[in-house]
Amino acid sequence: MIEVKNLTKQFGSKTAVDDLSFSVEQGEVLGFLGPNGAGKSTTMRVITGFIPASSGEVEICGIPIARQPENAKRKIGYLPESAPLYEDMTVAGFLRFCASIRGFSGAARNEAVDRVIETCFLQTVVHQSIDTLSKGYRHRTCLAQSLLHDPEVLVLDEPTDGLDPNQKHEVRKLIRELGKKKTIIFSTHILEEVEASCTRAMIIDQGRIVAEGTPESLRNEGSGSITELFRKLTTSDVAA
Amino acid sequence: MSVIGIFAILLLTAALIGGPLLIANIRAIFYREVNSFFTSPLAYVLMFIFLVAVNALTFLWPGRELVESEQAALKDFFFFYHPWILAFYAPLLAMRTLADEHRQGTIELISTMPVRTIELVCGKFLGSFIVLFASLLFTASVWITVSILGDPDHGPIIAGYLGSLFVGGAFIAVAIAVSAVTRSQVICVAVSIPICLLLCIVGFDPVQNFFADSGVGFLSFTGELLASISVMPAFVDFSKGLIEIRYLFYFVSVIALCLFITNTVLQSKRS
Repeated sequence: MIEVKNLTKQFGSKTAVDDLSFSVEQGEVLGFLGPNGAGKSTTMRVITGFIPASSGEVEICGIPIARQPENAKRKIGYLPESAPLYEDMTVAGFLRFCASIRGFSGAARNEAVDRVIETCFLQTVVHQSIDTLSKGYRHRTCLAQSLLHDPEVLVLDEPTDGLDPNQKHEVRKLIRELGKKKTIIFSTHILEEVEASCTRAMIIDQGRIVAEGTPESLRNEGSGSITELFRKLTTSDVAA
Repeated sequence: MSVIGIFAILLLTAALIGGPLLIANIRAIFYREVNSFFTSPLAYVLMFIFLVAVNALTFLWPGRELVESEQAALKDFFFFYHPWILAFYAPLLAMRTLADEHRQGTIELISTMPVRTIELVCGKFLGSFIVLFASLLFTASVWITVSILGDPDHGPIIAGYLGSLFVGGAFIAVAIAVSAVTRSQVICVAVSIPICLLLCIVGFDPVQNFFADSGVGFLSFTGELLASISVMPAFVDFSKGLIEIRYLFYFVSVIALCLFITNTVLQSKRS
């Protein structure tokens, strides 16, 4: 599970995340919504231990990430927003490298790599160099990396960004499937995605939670549409 | 200077034992570095230029041609040029290591895996170092040549190679520390080559003679101070076949200091 308590993150004088508190239990899929710059990625970066919080605490399965980073990171699978990859490696080479870092070796490593290649439909590009991959494959390769160690917690920053409708459908199905046993938090701009795969959703704006609930309750709150609620509650960056 | 050296070694040791150190992590990062180096055509071009430079200077430098000198010792020919060539070669080898992680964004990936920053830094350093080691191995053709043409004393040659490895290692560490600060490979090279050259020049004989001959107390003190930070006095001793503990200590502390700085910069950059 993920426990976020009074999390604040400041960059200089700008407050990206403002006293955010929430928790995600095992078996839950939390959809993280918000306009660009609302603090979604920053929150995820703090949760995964990439950047430290200015104040507040994050616990992953009861382990504080600030004080025991390595132990907490073992529990997390993370797909960063831009799906960064080592361009000069092949898909298989990259996954083998990540598996080694995740503590696999020998036959167990090959098994883990084969498993995620299958889960993320990467069979056709296994031996291809990453810099020649299309965006969809790059995304799925990075997603595969996050599943290698069968983590208890998955943090996915816009997992369907740049995918075609078929791939989006597959990834949503995968998230729903994985969500039965794991704790998942994923961010998205696509509101229909929330209804398709989340058990709970949260809308944040300017670093604060402005709405929270099941997709149904949010829909009711927005008089029939989550989009309406989203537009009502969040600040538009093009508004004068 | 030795106080700084001891301090640097202590700091790096503290960073290393600050948590459980996973050799497996260092090994995985090391293998990735070496693999990625040899998949890029740039690596072969760099190595080729390095070997051409070493051989050309050794055999063709006017007035210092090895074959015409009829000497089999390599100290004044082959090894004489090593620190100068390494001042260019080592930064070029190491420039990609951290700059690429930032450019590709993979630093976010690796930082959220159970890897300590110091493991990443050590793996990167060893990766570049082994490429340097391989490059130096290829220069053994010169050693073979003098062994066929004459009867060299092999001891000083082995010690000279050890000196080259240490100088190269120190320069790689300098370049890695610089590349932790900047995201650009060009800036990394443009800053670290002058630093490495400076570490050579300030201990170079003509420069040292200038300070020593000046007769002014302040200047000769400056000369001694500069010699103590330069790689030259240490390297010259190695190439004569003298391996002194204080010089071993010097190289280890330069490397330790740079790796510690890299570790600190990377950690602070994330906040």
